[in-house]
Amino acid sequence: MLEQFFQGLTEVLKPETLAVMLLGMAIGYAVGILPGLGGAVTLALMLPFTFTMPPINAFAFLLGMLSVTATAGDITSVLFGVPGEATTAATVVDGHPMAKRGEAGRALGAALMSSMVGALIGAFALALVIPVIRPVVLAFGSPEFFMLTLLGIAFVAALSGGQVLKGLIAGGLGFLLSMIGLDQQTGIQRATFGQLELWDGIGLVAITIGLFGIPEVVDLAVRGTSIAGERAQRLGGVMEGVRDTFRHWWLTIRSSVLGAVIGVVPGLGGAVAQWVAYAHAVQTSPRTDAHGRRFSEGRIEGVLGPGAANNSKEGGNLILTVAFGVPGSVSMAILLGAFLIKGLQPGPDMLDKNVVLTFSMVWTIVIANIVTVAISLLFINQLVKITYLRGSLVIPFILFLVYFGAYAEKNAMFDVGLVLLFGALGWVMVQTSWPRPPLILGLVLGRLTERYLFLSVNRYDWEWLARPWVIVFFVAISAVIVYSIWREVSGKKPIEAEAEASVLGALEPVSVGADGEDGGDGHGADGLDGVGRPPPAEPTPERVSPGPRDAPQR
Amino acid sequence: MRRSGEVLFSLLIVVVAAWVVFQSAGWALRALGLQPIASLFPSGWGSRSGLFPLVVGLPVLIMAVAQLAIDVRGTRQTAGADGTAAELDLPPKVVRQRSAVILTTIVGFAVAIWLLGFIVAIPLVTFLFLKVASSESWTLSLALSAVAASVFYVLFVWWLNIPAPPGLLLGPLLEYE
Repeated sequence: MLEQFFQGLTEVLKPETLAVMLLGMAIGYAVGILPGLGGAVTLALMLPFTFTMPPINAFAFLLGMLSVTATAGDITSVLFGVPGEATTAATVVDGHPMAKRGEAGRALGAALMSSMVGALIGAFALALVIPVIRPVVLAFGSPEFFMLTLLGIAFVAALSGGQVLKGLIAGGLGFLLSMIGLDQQTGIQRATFGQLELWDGIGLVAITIGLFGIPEVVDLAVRGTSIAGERAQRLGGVMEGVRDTFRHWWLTIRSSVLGAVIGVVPGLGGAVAQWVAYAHAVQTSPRTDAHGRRFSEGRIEGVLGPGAANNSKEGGNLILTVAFGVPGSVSMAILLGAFLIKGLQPGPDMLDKNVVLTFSMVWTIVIANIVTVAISLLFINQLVKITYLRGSLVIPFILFLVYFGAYAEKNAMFDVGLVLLFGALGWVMVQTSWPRPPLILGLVLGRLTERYLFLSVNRYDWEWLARPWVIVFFVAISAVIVYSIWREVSGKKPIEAEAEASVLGALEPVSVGADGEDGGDGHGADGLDGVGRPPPAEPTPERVSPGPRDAPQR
Repeated sequence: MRRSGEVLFSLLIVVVAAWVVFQSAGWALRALGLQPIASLFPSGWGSRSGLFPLVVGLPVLIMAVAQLAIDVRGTRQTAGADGTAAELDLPPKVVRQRSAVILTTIVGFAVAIWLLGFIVAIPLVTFLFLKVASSESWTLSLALSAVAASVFYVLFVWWLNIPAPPGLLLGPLLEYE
C-alpha cells in the first residue's frame, strides 16, 4: 500500500500532469476570487476539456482547480466582506472586521495557512479512513441524517452570536426560505406567489452575497474611509497570520478534522463545514481576546476555524465519492461525472485496482494547496493594499461583483433583485443584532432536511423518533441549546453591574490566554471560557465598528 | 428608534411564521379530527408538502412571539453574531446624507442593470458614483469606469462566455433575444 501511495506522488509529479494541475489551479484561483462563480460551476465549465486527458491528468486538472477555489474565495471574504464562494461566507464574520481594523494581511495569512493545514489533514484523512468510514456511513439512515442536520443548525444557531433564541429563529427562517419553490416530493408550488423564477427556489449565492455584501458596502460608504479605516498601516502582517495558525494549532487541527468529518456526510458539504467550524471556534475560545474583542469583531480564531474546515472538507467529500460513489456536494457530483467519462467505477475498485489513482488525488490536493499558499503569500501584500484605497474608489467594483456574482449563478436577472431584497434584510439584521449565519445554514440544509424528514416519516412513520442514534442526537441538540442558554444567562449582567464590571475590568485586566502556549484556546480542563468574568466593556483604542452599524435612523 | 426597529423586525418574522403555519396546518388539523377548524385553513399544501413547513413553522412562530415579547419589554441583549451598537463619531446629518447616497447607488445600480444591461450599467454607475457622488476627478472617474467595463467584458463575456443580456430598454433596440 505504501508503495502505491508514493507511486501516486510520482504520477502527479510527472511534468505533463503537473502542468495541467497548475493550469487548473490558475483557473480555480481566478474563479475562486470572483463572487458567484463557484467551484462547481468551474468544474462543469472545464469538464469537457478533460475528455482527451488520461485519468490521472484529468483528476489533477479538476481537483487542482477545486482545491484552490475555497482558498481564493477567502480573499474577497476578508478584503471586501463579499464571500468569493458560498463556502467562504463564514470567513467574512471575523475576517472582514480584521481587514477594517487594518489587519487584512494577518487575516489573509491565517486564512491561507489554515486552509493549507486543513487541506493536508483532509487529504490524509482521505488516505487513512476509507476502510473505517464505510460501516459508519452505512449505519445511518434518513432519520439519523435528519437529526444530524438539526444538530448542525442548533450548533451554529446557539453558538454564533450569544443570542440563542434569535439564532434558532434565524435558522428556522433559513429552513422556511428553502421551501420556496416546487416541493421536491409532490411538485406543489410553495410560496412562489405566481413567479416562475421562484419555482426553482431562491439562489444561495444571491442570498449570501446580499446578506453579507450589501451591508458592508453601506458601512464602507457611511464611514467614508478606506476598508481598513484610519488604522491601516500599523497593524498586522501576513506572516503574523501564518504564525497565528500555529499559535492556535490545536483549534486549526480540530476544525480541520471537523471539516473532514462533515465532508463525509452526504449533502452537508462545505457550506455547512465552515459554519460548524466557526461555531466550534466560538464555543471553545475565550469570550473576549486579549484586546477585549468578541467574535464578529475580528477574532483570529473566527478566521482559522472556517479556513481550515473549508479545505479539509474536500478530502472528506472525496472519501464519499471515491469509496461509495455517493457525491457529497454539487462539485463532487460533477467530479463523479468525470469518473464516468473516464470509465471508472467509484467503489471498491478505487481502493484496489485503481488505488494509485486514488492516491494521486490525495497528492493533488496536497500539492495544489501548498503551491497555492506559497504563491499567495508572495503577492498577498499587494492585494491587501486594496483595503487602504479610498472607499469611494472600491465601492463601484464591489457592487459590480455583488450584482454580477448573483446573476452569474443562474444567469438570471431575477437574482439581481433578490440581492437587493436580501441586502436590505442583511442590513436590518445587522442593525437589530440578529445573527445571519444560522439563516444561511438553514437555507443550505433546508431541502436536504425536508427530504430526510419526509423519508423518515414515510418509511418508519413516527417510530423513527425512538431509534437509538436519533435519541443520541436529540440529547446532543438539547445539550447544545441548554449549554448555550446557560452560557448566555450566566455571562449576561444587568447594565449597572456590567458598567461596574467594566471599571473593575479596566483596573484589573483579565488574562484570557488566547495566545498562550496551550494551543490558543485558553481553556482549562472543563472547557469553559471564564464565563462570568467581566469583559472590558469599553472599546479598546484599536477597536472599530465591526459591521455596518451606523444606522442612519439613529 | 432602534428598539422600534427591533420590534418591527420581530413582528415581521411572527407574521411570516404565522403565514407558513396557516398554509400548512390544515392537513394536521384534519388528521386530529378537528374538521370544523381545518376547513378555515387552505388545503393546497397537503400532508406531504405541508409536513416540513409545519414542523419548522410552528416552533419558529412560538420562538418569534417570545422574541417579540422580549423586544417589546426592551430586555437588554448581548451582542449579536454580526454586530453591536454603533460607534461612529460622525454627525447624524453626515450619516444620513451618506446613507442616502449609497442606498440610491445600490438601488440605482440594480435598476440600471435591469434596464440597460450590465455592459452599460457598470461603466455608467461607476462613473456617476465616482464623479457625482464622490466628487472624484474627471480623469479618474473616466479611467476607472473604462477599467470596470473592460474587466467585465474581457473576464466574463469574452473569457468565461457568460451571457450578459442588454436589459429591458436596450434589448429591443439591439434586437436581442
